[in-house]
Amino acid sequence: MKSPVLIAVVVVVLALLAFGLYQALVVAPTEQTMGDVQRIFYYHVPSAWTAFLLFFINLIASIWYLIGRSGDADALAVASAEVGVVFCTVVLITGPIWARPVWGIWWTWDVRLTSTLVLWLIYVSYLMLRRFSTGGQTPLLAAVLAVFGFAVVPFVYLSIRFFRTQHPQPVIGGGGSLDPAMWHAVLWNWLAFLAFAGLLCWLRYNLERKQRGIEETLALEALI
Amino acid sequence: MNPIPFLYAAYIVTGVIHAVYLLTLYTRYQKLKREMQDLERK
Amino acid sequence: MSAPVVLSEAEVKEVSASPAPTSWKITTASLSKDLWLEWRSKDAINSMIFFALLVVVIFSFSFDPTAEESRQIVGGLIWVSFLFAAIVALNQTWAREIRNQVLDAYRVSPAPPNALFLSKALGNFLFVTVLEAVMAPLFMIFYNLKVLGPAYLLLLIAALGTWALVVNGTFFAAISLRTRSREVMLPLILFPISIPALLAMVEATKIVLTGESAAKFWIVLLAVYDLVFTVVCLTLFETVLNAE
Repeated sequence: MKSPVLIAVVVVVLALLAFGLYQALVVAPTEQTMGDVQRIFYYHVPSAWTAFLLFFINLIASIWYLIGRSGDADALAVASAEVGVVFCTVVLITGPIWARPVWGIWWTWDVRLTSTLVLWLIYVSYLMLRRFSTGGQTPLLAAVLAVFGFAVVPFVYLSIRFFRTQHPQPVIGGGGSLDPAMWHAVLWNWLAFLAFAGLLCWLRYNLERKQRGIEETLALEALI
Repeated sequence: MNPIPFLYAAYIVTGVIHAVYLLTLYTRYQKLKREMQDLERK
Repeated sequence: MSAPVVLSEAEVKEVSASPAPTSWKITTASLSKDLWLEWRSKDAINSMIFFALLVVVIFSFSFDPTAEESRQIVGGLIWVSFLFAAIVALNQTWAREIRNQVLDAYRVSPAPPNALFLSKALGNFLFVTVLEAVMAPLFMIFYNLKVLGPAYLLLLIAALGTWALVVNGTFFAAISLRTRSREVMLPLILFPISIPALLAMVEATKIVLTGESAAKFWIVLLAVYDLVFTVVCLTLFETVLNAE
C-alpha cells in the first residue's frame, strides 16, 4: 500500500489538480456574458469527459469478460463503473449549480443533461446489481447488464433530442469558439482529472483483486 | 444574483465528492487489511 | 432426452416422439404450458389487473383533470400503470421453473435456450396485452378520453411498446433470479434501460390522442428499439441461463 510508486503517483496527481485549479480560477480569462461563474465549466466538462471514458472502459472490460471470463477484466469493469459514477455525480451536481445563475433554472430536460442523468441511473443500477447478486455469477450478470446499458445510449440520446425541442441551447459546443486560454484550462483540468481517475481506478482495481484473493483463500479453507 | 457563491459551491462540491469517495476507498482498504491479518493469524 | 416442459401427455408425446424437436416446437410447447397454467390459476392476470386498477383510481382522483388536460397526461399515466403492473407478471416469469428445477433440466437438455426465452417473452406479452385490453376502456371512462388522431395507431404503439417492456423484462427477470430480494431488483435494473422506450410510447400515445402531429418518429424509434433489444436478449440469454 505504501509503495514509493504510489506516493509518487499521488504527488503527481495532486500537483496536476492544483495546477488545474490555478488555471481555472486565475489564468483563464473571465467570460464576457456569464462572468466568473462560467469557470465551473473547467470542472464540469472535464469531469463529463472522464466519466464517459470510464463508462466506455467499463463496456470494453465487460465484453472482455464475456469473451475470456477473466477475473481481471471484471475487476477493471467494477473499478471503472464505480469511479465513472463518482465523476458522473460531479457532472450532475455542478451542472445545475451552473445553470441556476446563467439560465435562471436548476434543471431542464435538455438532451445532454437528461442523457447524462439516464446514464448515471443505468450505472447506479449496474452497481446495485453487483451488490445484490449472490454467488459467483455476479461478474457475468453485471457484464450482460453493461452491454444493455451501452445499447440503450443511442436511444436515450435520440428520444430526448426529439422530446423537448424548446430547450435552452447548451452554452458550450456547436460554435466551438473558445478562447485558447480557456482551452488550456479545460485540457489541463482534463489531464488532472484523468490522472486522478486513473489513480482511483487503480486503487479500486487492487482492492477488488485483493478481496477476491481473500474470498478464494476462505473458500479453500472451508473446503479443507 | 451574485454568481460567485455558485462558483465556489461547484468547486467545493466537486472536492467533497472526490474526498468522500477516497474516504470510502480508505475504509474498504482498512477492512481488507483487518481481514488479511485475521487470515494470517489462523 | 428429458422433455424440458411437462404438462399434458399429448404434448409430452409430441415433444419426445420426434428425435430433435424444432426450436419453434419447444417454444410453443413451453408457451402453451404457461398459458394453460395461467388459465387455471389466473394469478398473474388477476393481480396485474387489480394493481393497474388501483393505480388508475389513485391517479384519477389525485389529478382530476379536464378532458383537454387528460389527453395531455393520460399517455404518461397509462404507460406508467402498465409498466408497474407488468412488473407483477414479469417477476413471476421464472419463479415456477426455479421451484421445480425446470431450468436445471433445461440446461442439460439439448434444447436451444432461446426457444425457452421466446416462449416466456411471448407469454408475458400475451398477459400484458390482456391487461391492456381490459384497462384501456377504463382509462377512457375515468379520463373522458376522446381520440382526436388516428386511433388504429394506438394498437401499433401498444404492441410495439408492450414488446419493448416485456422482452427486456423477461430477460432481466432471469438476471434478478440470481440476486437477493429479486422482486425489488427487477424494476431497479429494468426501468433505467426502458426510459427511452417509455418516453417513445408516452409521446406517441399523446400525439395520437391530441391529434396534433405525426407520431411516425416515435413509432419508428420504438420499432428499432424492439429490434435491437430482441437481438441483444437472444444473443445473451444462453450466457445468463448457464450462469451458475
